[in-house]
This record gives sequence, C-alpha cells and structure tokens, in this order.
Amino acid sequence: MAPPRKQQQQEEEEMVAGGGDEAAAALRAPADVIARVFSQLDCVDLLSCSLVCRQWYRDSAELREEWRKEYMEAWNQFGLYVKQQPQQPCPTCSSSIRTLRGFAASATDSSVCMYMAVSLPIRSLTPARVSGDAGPSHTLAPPLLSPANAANKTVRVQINLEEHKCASRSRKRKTKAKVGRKKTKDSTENGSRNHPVVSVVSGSTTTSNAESSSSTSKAGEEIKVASQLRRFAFNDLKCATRNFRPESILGEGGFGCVFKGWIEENGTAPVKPGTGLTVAVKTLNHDGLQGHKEWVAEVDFLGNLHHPNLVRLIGYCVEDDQRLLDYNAKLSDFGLAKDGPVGDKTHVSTRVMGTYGYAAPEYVMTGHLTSKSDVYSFGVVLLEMMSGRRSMDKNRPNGEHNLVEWARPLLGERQRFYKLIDPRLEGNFSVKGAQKAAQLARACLNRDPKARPLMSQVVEVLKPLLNLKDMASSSYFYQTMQAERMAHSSSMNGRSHALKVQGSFARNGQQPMRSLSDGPRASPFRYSPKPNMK
Amino acid sequence: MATGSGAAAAAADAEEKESGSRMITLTSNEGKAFVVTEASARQSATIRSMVDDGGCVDKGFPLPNVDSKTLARVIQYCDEHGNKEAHTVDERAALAKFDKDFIAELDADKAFLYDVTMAANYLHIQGLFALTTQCIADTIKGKTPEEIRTAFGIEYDLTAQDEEEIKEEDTHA
Repeated sequence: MAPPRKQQQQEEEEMVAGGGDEAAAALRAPADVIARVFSQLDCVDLLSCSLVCRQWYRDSAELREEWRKEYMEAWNQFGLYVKQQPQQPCPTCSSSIRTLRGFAASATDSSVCMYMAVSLPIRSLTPARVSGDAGPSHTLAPPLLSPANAANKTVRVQINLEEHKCASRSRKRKTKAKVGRKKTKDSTENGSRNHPVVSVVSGSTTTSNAESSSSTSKAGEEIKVASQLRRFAFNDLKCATRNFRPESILGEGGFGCVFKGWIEENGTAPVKPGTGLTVAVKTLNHDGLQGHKEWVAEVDFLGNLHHPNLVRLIGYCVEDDQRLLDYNAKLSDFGLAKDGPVGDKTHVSTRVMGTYGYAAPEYVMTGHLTSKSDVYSFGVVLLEMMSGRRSMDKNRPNGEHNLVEWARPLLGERQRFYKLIDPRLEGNFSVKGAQKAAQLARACLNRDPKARPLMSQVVEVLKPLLNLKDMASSSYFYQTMQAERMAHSSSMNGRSHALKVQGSFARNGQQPMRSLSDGPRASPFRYSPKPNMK
Repeated sequence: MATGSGAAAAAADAEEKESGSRMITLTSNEGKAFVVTEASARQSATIRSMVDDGGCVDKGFPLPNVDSKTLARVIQYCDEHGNKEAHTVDERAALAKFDKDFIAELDADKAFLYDVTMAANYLHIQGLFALTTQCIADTIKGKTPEEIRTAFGIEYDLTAQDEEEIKEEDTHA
C-alpha cells in the first residue's frame, strides 16, 4: 500500500527543507494532539519533550506542573514519587496551534543538557541522558508507583554492621559436596513471606579465595564475571542464619529480609554463632519488585566491587527458586549509584530501586542516579542516627512518618533542632557536634543534588566533631528541653543509647557505623514508637 | 497507489455489504472524491454527527484539512474498522493485526504519521487517534530532546531569553 519509502523520505525532506510559513501552516499540530501524546509519556520523557522546542516546552508546562504537584504531595506523604497513569487531558482545549515539523534541527547537545538540568522538576543533575545511550532499553524511566503500592515498592536493603573480624578459624568442614545440590523448596519454612533467595557478604578484611564452582543452573550461568564468588548451598545458609530466625533479621528491604549469619571463613559451611565469618544473608523476596534481573545485576556488580567502605559480596546461592546473596557483615548499600558511570556520563538511568525513605528525590523522580544520590541517602542515615528514628516509620503520628520531611524544618533552626536529637542520648552528646551534624545532614538532604556536599567534604566536617566535649547535659538549654520533655511524657525509654553523635562517625575514618554489639534489637532502627515529644 | 486501492476497496466492500447502507463521498483538499460506506464514514465522529444531522450526504463532505494521500490512508483504517465485524476472537485478532501493520507502516514515515494523526484528530476517529498518538509517544520515549528533534525534524528554537525564563520558573518551584 505504502509508496516506496524513498519517495516518502524525499517528501519529508522537502517539507523539512521548505519549512516556510506555507508548509508550516499545513503541518500544524493542535495542542490537544500534543497533549494527548504527552499524556502517554512518563515524567522523564515529558521533560525531554519540554526541551525539544519552545512550543513543546509551553505545551508540556501544564502537565509538568500537575506532576510536580502530585510529586510533592506524594513526597510528603510517602517519601516517594508516585505517578500512575497520567490523566487524559481535556480534548476540547485546542486553542493554540503547535508545529511539530518543518524545522531544521540546530541545537547542540550541551545546550540540551543544560536545559534538561534546569527544567527537571526537583532540580536535578547535570547532563541528562547522554545521547547515544538512547534506546528505550537503556533509559528506563522510573516505574510509576501508585500510593497503594508505594509501601511495597522499596527495594534496597541497607545494613550497617560493625566490621567483624573473624574470631576463630576452627570448625572447618567439608562442604563442597553440598554445593549445588538440588534442594526442595523449603522457603516457606521461615514463616515469612520472604522466600530466601540469598546473597552472602563477608567481613571486609577477609579476602575471598574461595572456590568458585562453575554453576550449572540457569541463574548461575548469567553470573559470569563474578567468578571469585562462593556458591552456597541453600541448606548451609539456612543453618548459618539459624533457619532464618526472625531474631537474626538485620533489616528488610524490597529485596527481602536480611539475616545475620555465620559461616566458615574460607568455605561455605555454617558455623556456630560468634565464630567464623559474620555475614549478612540477603534474601530475595519472591513477590518483590527487584526481580531476577536486578539480583543478577547485583551479584555481578558487587562481586567485582572492592571498596573498603562497601560491603563485599562473598557468594551467592541459587537453588531452584532460592536466590540468596551473602554479604560481608558491613554494608551500606542505598542502591549504589549502580555501575559507576563511565566517561562523560555523570549518571546512569535505571529503574528506580531505592529503599523507600532513603532514595534521593531526583532519583525517585527521574531515575537518574549519581554519587550525589548516595550523599542524600547518607544524610538520611545521619538523621536516623541523630534522631534515633527510622527513615520511614508508620507507627509515628501523622506528619512524622517520613523522617526527612519531619526533620527538614527542624534542621535549619538552632532553637528547635534539639527536638531532633534522640532523647535516649539523655544529653550525652556534644551540642556543637550535634549542631554541625544537623547542618551537615541538612546539606546532604538538599533537594538540589548539586548543592549537596561531596562525601570527602562530609568526612572533613565530621572529623573534628570527635574532639568536642561540650556535653549537652550540662547546657542550660538542654536542661530546659529535657524538663519540657519530661512534662510531656512520663515514660522515657530507659538507658542511654550507645550512640553518640560525636563519636560514632569517625570510628573508622569515614564510614558511619552502627554498633551491632548490643544486637539489632537494641538499635534505634528497631525502635518502636516513642513518646510524643512535641 | 494507496489512494486507488483504498477507494476501490471501499467501493468493493460497500457493494458486497448491506445494500441498504448509504454510500458517502469524502473529498480531499485536492478535490479528489472518495466513496466510502456509511459504516466506514461513521468511524469519524465528525462525519457521523453531520450525517445524523441530516446534512449534505448527497453532496458529499469536503475535507479541506486533509490531503488525498492522508485521506486514503485514513479511509483504509475506517474501512477495516467500520465494515468488518469484531465479535469473535478471531475477528478481533485480525483487527488488532491490521492495526499493528498499519501503524508499523506509518511509523517508518514520521511526516506521514503526523499527517494521519492530524486527520484522525480533525475527523475525531478515536481508535486511529489513539493508535497514532501512542506511536508518536513510543517514538519519543527514551530519547533525548536532541534525538526527538531529529526524529520529528523540529527546529531548536529555545533562545537565551527562554533559557532565563525556564531557569527562573524552575527556581520558583
């Protein structure tokens, strides 16, 4: 039916070339057509469109504004960007006429990038998608979440364990025979909905020279590069975590639960708690969003990544449906800025995978991930440490669910920032230090990624805080606060927590660590609702 | 080519089909007449309302905004959806396949795709409009502004002044 393509192309070229008024007049696109097209895009693509030409910029303004509002609402409520199907725009508003074609492209890439940068709703990062990295498959837009789903959408697990040097080397066992053995599904045994699909990560001090069994299973084959990884039998990990005992849960992410466990230092066999190598076993939640693809990506990526501040992946387990990652017991993984961007790319676009409450707004919004997104996540953790609250806590009164949104106004004020500090510290912290930390958290949590400090700057700020001795307990201001607090709540959660704002950061130079010595239950992460402290 | 067979198919279909059904003449802006079945023409909400209002059925409908090439293609779609039944699974599958092929052909020629979109909008042909706008949206997805401009042959016309404007607007947000 169609005329030969060459002819068509010629025609098109003619139209483009002769884009005079006459041609343009015949090629007008009413606003409702554009609006209809735009309504079928997600926010990232809509932003691209807004930078195509002036008319598109204006045409998309309404929709962008609408989404921005929705986003802010959602952000305040859920800490997440929520967007489902865009509303169909009104089909009758065809007042303005828009031209789509009949122009010659004349823009340079740099100008595009600049525009992209300025027009992102929550001012986002530097160069937008790098051209050449086009193709829908590469630039996946953030998945659009519905509020109902939002709570289930979180994905990354974040664990902070104290680095644990292996205490004993005894108890080595032969386990190779077990590796890769078929295993019947007993994933439901742990009673939770987290079907163990596991990754194991080990203490950073140990080098893994463990056996790399060439796997036969499908999933195993996909993990090509990570040859240094150990391959665990599901049973081993089950034993190592004492049957995925609820008490050994370290954290929970969208992936699934993370359990604490102990394995042989150089093998895969489970050992008695407290001996061998302390590991974090990350299970993959079957109905979680982070599916097999992400799991493989994580294994592949972490398996090759060695950094003192990052958890090291020791091995993995693939048996039937069981997929587990085994980490060294030290990790802060807030959805790593994925594979470090290469070359002139300053970020990567991925499906938005972030632990709810930790993910930077621009990441949630656009899927663009940079190192500054991790700075944001760090800010959240810093805030958690100071406040003793979790980043998201549904048990708190309305308006306090999202730690960042609750704390943001307090961070800026000298007078009110005391309200932020974990009351369980009972004044056992440096006022100056806490103030500095609050300032720092505020900077890290800036909505504008470019305004956030570098991690190296963060360290510089934190270092001197160690030596501060002006304890709040002796300050008049704090005493007043305390008195106020006591009046509000009779029951104060007992003992002072081990956490000190001043001391906790620099223990190993730069990594904020939470001590696990008193068990995860005692950590503020696990802290249950606290008395109202307004 | 498209014109001839489109019209011929329409005429042939019309003869075969319900003899009671009226034939309607649509005239492109070049003055070319296309005779289609009423069922086919009724795919267009614009024409449907004119027919129902008892308008100029006999004289035919001049469509000053649509050229012959585009109209032929639009009629091709209308014939398929207007004259064929879509009751059984097979019939629906056939229509879906038609849509798929139809849009794939258009997708190869963005300029023409745009013409057809405009025509579908002007004639209020819901199905076709949804089909083509979706296709345009799919083209846009995952592209940089630069690539979008290239794909649609759009001129980059944001000036330094606009840039300021955009910046300002953004900082207010």
